[in-house]
Amino acid sequence: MSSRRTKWVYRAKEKLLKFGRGFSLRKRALQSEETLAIPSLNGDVLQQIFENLDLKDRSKMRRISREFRNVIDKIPIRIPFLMIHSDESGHYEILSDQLDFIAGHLLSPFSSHFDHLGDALSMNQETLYQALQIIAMQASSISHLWLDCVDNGYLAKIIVEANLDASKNVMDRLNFEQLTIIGSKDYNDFDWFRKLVLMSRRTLKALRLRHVRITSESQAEAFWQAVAQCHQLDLLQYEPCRTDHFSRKLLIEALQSKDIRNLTVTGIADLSADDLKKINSRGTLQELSVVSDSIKPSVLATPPLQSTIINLKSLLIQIDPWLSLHDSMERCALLTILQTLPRSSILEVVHVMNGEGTPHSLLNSNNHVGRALGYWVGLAMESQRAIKLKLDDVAQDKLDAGVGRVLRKCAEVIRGNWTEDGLWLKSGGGRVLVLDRRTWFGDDDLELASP
Amino acid sequence: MADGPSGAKKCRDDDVLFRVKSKEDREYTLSKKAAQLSGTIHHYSENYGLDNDEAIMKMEPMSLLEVSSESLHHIIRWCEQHRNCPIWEEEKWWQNERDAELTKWEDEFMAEMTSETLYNLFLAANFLDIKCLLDKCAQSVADMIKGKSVDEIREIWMLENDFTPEEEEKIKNENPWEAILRYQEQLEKEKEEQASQPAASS
Repeated sequence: MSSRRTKWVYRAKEKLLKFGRGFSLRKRALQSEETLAIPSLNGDVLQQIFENLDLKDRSKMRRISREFRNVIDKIPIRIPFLMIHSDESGHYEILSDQLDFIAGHLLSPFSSHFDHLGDALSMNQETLYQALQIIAMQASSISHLWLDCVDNGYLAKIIVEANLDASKNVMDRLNFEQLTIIGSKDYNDFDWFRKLVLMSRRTLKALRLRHVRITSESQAEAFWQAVAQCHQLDLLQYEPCRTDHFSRKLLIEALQSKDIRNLTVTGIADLSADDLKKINSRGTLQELSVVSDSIKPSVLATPPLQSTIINLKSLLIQIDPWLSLHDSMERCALLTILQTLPRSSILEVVHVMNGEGTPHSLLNSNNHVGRALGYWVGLAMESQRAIKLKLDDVAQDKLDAGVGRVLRKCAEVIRGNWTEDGLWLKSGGGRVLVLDRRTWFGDDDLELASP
Repeated sequence: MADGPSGAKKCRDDDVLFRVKSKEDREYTLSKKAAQLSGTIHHYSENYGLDNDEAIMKMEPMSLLEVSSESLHHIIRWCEQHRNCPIWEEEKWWQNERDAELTKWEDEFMAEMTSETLYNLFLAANFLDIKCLLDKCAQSVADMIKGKSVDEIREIWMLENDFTPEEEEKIKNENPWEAILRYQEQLEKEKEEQASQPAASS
């Protein structure tokens, strides 16, 4: 045994000296008597080493031994978050949690064609198209793909086609857990979005589509059928830029067999309270934001829909400008909604202050803003619930004046903490977070739960 | 053993010291903060109630039977240098929050390792679950592989070719990234052609 080891050490030393030049940092190491212990590195450790190699070196390492081949074949390329956005002048940026990996390994052939800005890779359109093709061919999964570009449809096409070219097995094709697309321009963009969704039908959990446009009934049908195949989907946000007259029925069919927890839908024509009930037939909804002409607070407060909102963690409603703050029926309905919601939940309110229905005397009036704030603080106090309030289309100085007015006029209202989003007003057991003009509803429920 | 790169941090007098023992039964100490970089030590502390300074001061040395004295010495140097970094649970923090000084220290640290020390350190870091050190070791070993031929790597690492001739022939022609590599090569060629065109026309 000892003689075998001596021979082994001798051979190692000889070979190390032979290849000593390659080890620039380790000249001293190569002059000393030593052995290399690679065979004792286990698969996990080998994988960590190989993850630092580019594809050329990896394909070479596969030919070393069976163990190496097995380890390399198991290395997936996972990108946790990848966002691509563009500006109007044709500049594109890639943002990711793994920018160094993307720049150094996946996109090394283009290194002279993009700028590494530290938190983003900046490039022109042509480079972006090539870079995206490479990323789509190599990565096995992107946890969250976010497309926010002028040509989202074309980017989706690149990803889909690159994956077909990559000679991957169906199970190994690129997939996403979350897909966010903001904006669509061309009439066939949705056909590519559909294919993107289909690529990830086994893994997709969250789908967000904003400022997009379905252009025909057949397109809508194909798209929602693709969504229906995403069995893990539990979050859907669909906010088209124009009223969608094709999707109502198809959306219900796609979602009613799913455990949807978070639903945000605006701009679907004729979406009714009954439709909501069908979508939530499994009772899994926890966060609901639906804006539709047919779904008013008075409808949500009716017994059939109370069962839909009784378990919600958050509910978003939109109040139109023509709501009269003196309408006792409407106030009663809002109070019922608040009292139906669990105590720890949040009612998110978009109160549109200035619109077609606003009387001229109230437009941009400080008093009107103050009265609206008082109205919601009163409801929060009475129901002992939390409300997150967005007074839409109101200037910040008017919001501040309105808050001042409420604090002066209502002795029981006290000012709470300032947060990044706005100011808390408290009254009894109720709380209202008045969002700043530039703030929209975010994901800070934790903060809301314990102000 | 060398003290390592300049500016290395060491335990302070007021540090609470965690006791560890190498496989050669040699005892070492490291600050509590440095010790928490190791997932293995972290779990050991949780399991043995070492969650307060008093318990740590009274502790028996933790036996690290897989770690040699030399590796442990280097591990402690690494951990002391990184003790103010966020705790080990936060995945890949070291990739985002590295300052130039720390990177320089790490490079000097790795440069002074012999190949054998490096592999032993790698195994020890794996045993102790020190993610930032594992990452650095993996990068260093990968740097050694880059640009070498298959035969060279086999010879350097003394690996047997365990493929049958038929398998070897097959694997030569089989490349899961062939399409990608071909595409990259095509791009490189196109770029070269584009670059040579103005020169030719002029």
